[in-house]
Order: sequence, then C-alpha cells, then structure tokens
Amino acid sequence: MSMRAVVAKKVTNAAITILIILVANFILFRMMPGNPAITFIRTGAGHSANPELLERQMEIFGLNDPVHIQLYKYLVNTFTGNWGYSFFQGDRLVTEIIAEKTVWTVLLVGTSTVITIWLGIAIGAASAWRRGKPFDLASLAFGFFFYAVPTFWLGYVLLILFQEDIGIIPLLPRSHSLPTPYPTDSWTILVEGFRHWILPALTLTLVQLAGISIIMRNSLTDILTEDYILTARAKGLSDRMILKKHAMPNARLPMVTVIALNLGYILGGAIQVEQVFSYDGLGLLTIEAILSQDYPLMQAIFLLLTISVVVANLISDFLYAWLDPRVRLE
Amino acid sequence: MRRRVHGRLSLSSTEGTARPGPTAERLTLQTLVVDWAHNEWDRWRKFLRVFRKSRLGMLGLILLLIFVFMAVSAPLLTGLGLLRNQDGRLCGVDLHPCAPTEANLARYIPPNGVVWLGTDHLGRDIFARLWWGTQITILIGFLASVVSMGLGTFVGLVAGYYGGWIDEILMRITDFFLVLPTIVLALILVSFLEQSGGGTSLTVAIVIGITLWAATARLVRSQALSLKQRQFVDRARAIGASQSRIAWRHVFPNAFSLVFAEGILTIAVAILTESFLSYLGLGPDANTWGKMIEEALQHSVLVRQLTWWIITPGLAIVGVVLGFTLLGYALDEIVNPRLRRR
Repeated sequence: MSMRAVVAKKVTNAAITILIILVANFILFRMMPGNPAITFIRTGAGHSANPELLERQMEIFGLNDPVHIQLYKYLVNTFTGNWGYSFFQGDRLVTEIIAEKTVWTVLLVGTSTVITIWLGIAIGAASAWRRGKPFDLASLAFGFFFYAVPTFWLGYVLLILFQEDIGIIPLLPRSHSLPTPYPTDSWTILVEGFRHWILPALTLTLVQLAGISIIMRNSLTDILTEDYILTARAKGLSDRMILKKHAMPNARLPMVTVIALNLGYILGGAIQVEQVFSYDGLGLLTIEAILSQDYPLMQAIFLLLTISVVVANLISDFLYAWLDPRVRLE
Repeated sequence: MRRRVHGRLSLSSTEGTARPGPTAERLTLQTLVVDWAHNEWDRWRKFLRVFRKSRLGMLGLILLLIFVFMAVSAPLLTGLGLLRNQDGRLCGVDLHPCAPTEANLARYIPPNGVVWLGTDHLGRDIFARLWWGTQITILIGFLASVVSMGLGTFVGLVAGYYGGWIDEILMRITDFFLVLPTIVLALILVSFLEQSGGGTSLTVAIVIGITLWAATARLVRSQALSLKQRQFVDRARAIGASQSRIAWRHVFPNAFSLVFAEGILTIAVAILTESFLSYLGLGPDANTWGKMIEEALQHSVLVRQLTWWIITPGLAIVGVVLGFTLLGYALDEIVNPRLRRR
C-alpha cells in the first residue's frame, strides 16, 4: 500500500471508531434504568428542583421524539457543540463546566506524566544496563509493587504518611481549604497550588512509573543484544557512548506508543487520585456526575475522554513512523 | 483426530517430538487416549522445566498459593475455632462473641493479642474479615476474567478466522472498547446496577468482564490469522472439515495457552477495578477487600487513627494482584512467541 493509502486507512478507522463512540454514547445513556426526568425530579427535591431546566433538556435531547429523530438530533447537537445543561451543577452549560475542570486535570496529568516519562526512562535504562544486579532487582521489585497497588489506596497511604508528621499537606479538599480571605499575591497562590498538587501528582507518578520503567527496561534489554551494539563495542566506543548514541535513541521509541495506548489507563488513575484528594478536576467531576446521575454531564465527559484517546492513538501512530525511519505504516 | 498436537506450550518443534499419529489399523479408543495422555504429559514436563527457571513466576505462584490457602481454609479454620466468623460481633472488655443487638459492642478496638488487627465499627474482627474476604475477592476477579476471556476469544476468533467485513466491524468495536478508559465504563455500567437495586458479586464481575475483553480479542485475532495459514488447517480443510469446525477444533485449541496467560493477567486488573468500585460504594454486596477499605473510610479512619484498618486490606490486594501479575507475565513469556527471549 502506498503511504497515502495507509494514512487514509488509519484516519478512516479512527473516524469509524469515533462514530461508534457517538452511537454507543447515545444508546448507553438511553439504556439507563428509569426515566431521567423522574430521577431528576425525585433527586431534585433536595437540590434545586427546576422543571423548567428539565423541559429545556428534554427539548434539546428530543426525549419525546421517536428514536431515529432523537439520534439525529443528538448527532447534530454533538457536532454543533450544543451539549446541554447539567442537571445538578447549578443549571450551567455542560461544556462550560468541563472546560473549567479540564484545566486542573491537564495540569495534574500533564506534569505527572512528564515526570514519569523522564524518570521511567532513566530508571529503566539504568536497570537494563545493570541487568541482574542489585539495582535492577530493586527497581523491578519497586516496579511490580507499584503496578499492583490500587491507586486510590496508595493515595490514602501517602496522605496518612505525610499529613500528620510533615504538616505541609492539606487534609481538606482543594476547593474547601483555600485560605480566607482569598490570597491575592501570586507567591501565596503559587505555594497553595503546589501544596494541593504535590500529593496527587506523587501518587499518579508512582503508579505510572512502574509500567514505564519496566517497559523501558525490556526494550533496552532487547536492543543491547542487537548486532549494531556489538559493532559499536568492537569499534572501541565507551559504554557511555554506546548507551547514549546507539541504544537509547532506539529504546526510547516505543514510549510514544506506550503513552498513547495508556492514556485511557492514566485517565482512570487520575479519576481515582482526584477522588481521594478531592482534587477539583475532570475525574472528580466524572464521579460526581455518575453518582448524581447527571446524564448530560456524563455523556459529554464520556465522549470527550474516548475521543481524546482515539486521537492520541492516531497521532502516536504517525509520530512513531516519523520518528523511526525503519517503521513503515501498515 | 488428536487434540492440540501443535500446541504452543511445547517449546521445541512439535512435529518432531509428538508421537506418530494414529494410523488406520491402530485407531482404537485405547491408543487414542494413551497417545493423547503421553503428549499432554510431555508438554507439561517441558513447560515445568522452563517455568521453574522463571524466578518472578515462582514468586507469583508462591504468593498465589498463600492466598488460595487463605480462601480455601477460611470455613475450615472457623469450623475448628481458630478463626472468627467474618460477621461475628465482639462485646465487652474481654471481647466475647455476642449478638449484634447487645449494648456494649467492642467497636474500634486497636490491634491486640486477641483481635490481631482490631475491630471495626460493628465490633467485628478485622483479621477474620480480611481472611474471609480472600474468597470473594479472588472469585470476583476470576469470574470477571472468565467473562472477558470468553468474549475476547469469541470475537477474536470470529474476526480473525472469517476475515472480510465481519473482521472490519468486529475490530472497530474492539477498538472502541480498547480506547475506553475501563474505569469510566465500569462506573457507568455499575451505576445502572445500582439504580436497579445494587449489584451482586456475579453482576459486578460480569460488568468488569465486559470492560476488559478487547485486548484479548486483538490477541486471539492475530493468533487466528497466523494459525489459519498453517498446514494442519489446510489438511483439515482438505479432508472436508467445515469452517466452524476448523475454527473451534483446530485454531482455538492452539490459541488457548495464550488466552490462558492473558486470563491470569486479567484477574489482576479485575481485582483492582473491583476494589475501586467497592471503594466508591458501587461494588458488589459482599465482603471484598475493597469494601473493607470503603467501610474503613466511611468511619473516618484518618481522623480516628485506625490506620491498620485501611492498610491491611490494601496490602492484601497488592499481594494477590502481584501474584497474578507475576505468574501471568511468566506464563506469557513462555507461551507467547513474540516475547520469547533469545
């Protein structure tokens, strides 16, 4: 297949997957037991019961129309960005709420993923270089332990370890423990932000680090048995040069795919971490939406998460082919 | 026709080591059985020889044996009076068993010589609950894995063997499940259960299984694609075996060992998923370790300093997940030709 045909095929497949996601999203949330209207009014008694809002929602989703009209309306609405109103978050637009929370999640997931990749590559490489030595065994044990740890539980353990003795970690939720009056100087804001970021980021990093360092180790172990490494050694290059110039560039490559494939898993971890630390991001919002049966919000989050993973995978495919001239897309 | 002659578990060339196939005059039930048993025994010995060399795999196996012992022995030890019942309440200063209605329930007792891990909010022995919890935690993981392997194998086999547009459709659906953050789908599905009156161990296991099958489908599909090119499939076709017979009787048994290794790894993931669902209060109505953590948090362990109550079930989860992961990786390295080390 020519390059162009391969690219077309990949993009088409991604597009079909997104289409399936759209339809699944539509079906999934109409399969829900009970009528969202009834749920809303019943639960709404405690919250701000707002029949008017529900009416507007029913209108947007066309919940009174036949199914095919509903599907049509849903698709049109999705593509025009008309994603409806949250049932319980103060009658706000779903897109508005999500945009606000996404910032925090991107901050958390982004920083911890960058740290993870950097550390994971370093640990994995050191481990492969000293294969079978104490450092390797220790890092393997560390890796497998954190691979097996339930993320949310690790969060609590870190909380127990740090909150009492060191006293720098706030026990209360981020949104609740903001100092009053709200600090205005940027230094205080920065310090406060850091205090609320450090433990969630540490938890997420530890959990992700395990997989990355083990994959890096195996990747480099394989490469060190290649003939071109032997050649480099025969040329009289130092160990350092072999590792730096010949082994590492190739060993690092699979990371691109690993990160993209694991994005769903990382987001799952973020959900757990945000729940434990009441970190006010997309993950916490997801759980709140599910527990309060906020259908429009759930639907939107589900759509965004899945599509972002599909797009990330598509990008990683191309990136990999671009980075590694040996690989041809197939 | 003998089964699984071309199995993946045998490491050297299968054609060479397998005994000559039954010829027309030898074709009696007896020779078939002896032949089959001999082959199986041979394969098993070879497998053990390789597996014993994997230190991590052995470690995983030992860990799992400990947990399986805990799971199996719980009713026995309780019967012998060595372990308390998981729902039994304790009362008074001397911590005697009592009815739940009694007034002086021994709640939130710190660990001591009588109750090794203390008691919970209902005056129950946490150590006994931990020991008993092994059963249901492993069972849910196992069931979820069976559901997931069943679905994955079916989809992968059909897609890989039949190919064409069936393959295209099935693979796009698989992609969808592959990219989905599994926790999110599990949360949504479990919240459905919750609204229709709460999930049982079985329904929660099924839900978890539904979220985890996609990787297996991919694996089985690629295996089926390569297997259907092999000679023995041609031979089967030549003697007039039907499509579905070839798929189920010839291709599936050969992919089985891969699926088995994958299944062991999936149990680990399923147990982690279950623990998170239980922690959110969306888990099964059973005493799993995740549920223990949830109960502990519900009763403010952090403020009351009852750390052992949350630490120990978590460590148990780590242990069992570690066991399944190490064993699964070791098996995968042996049976998966892609991973076999030089």
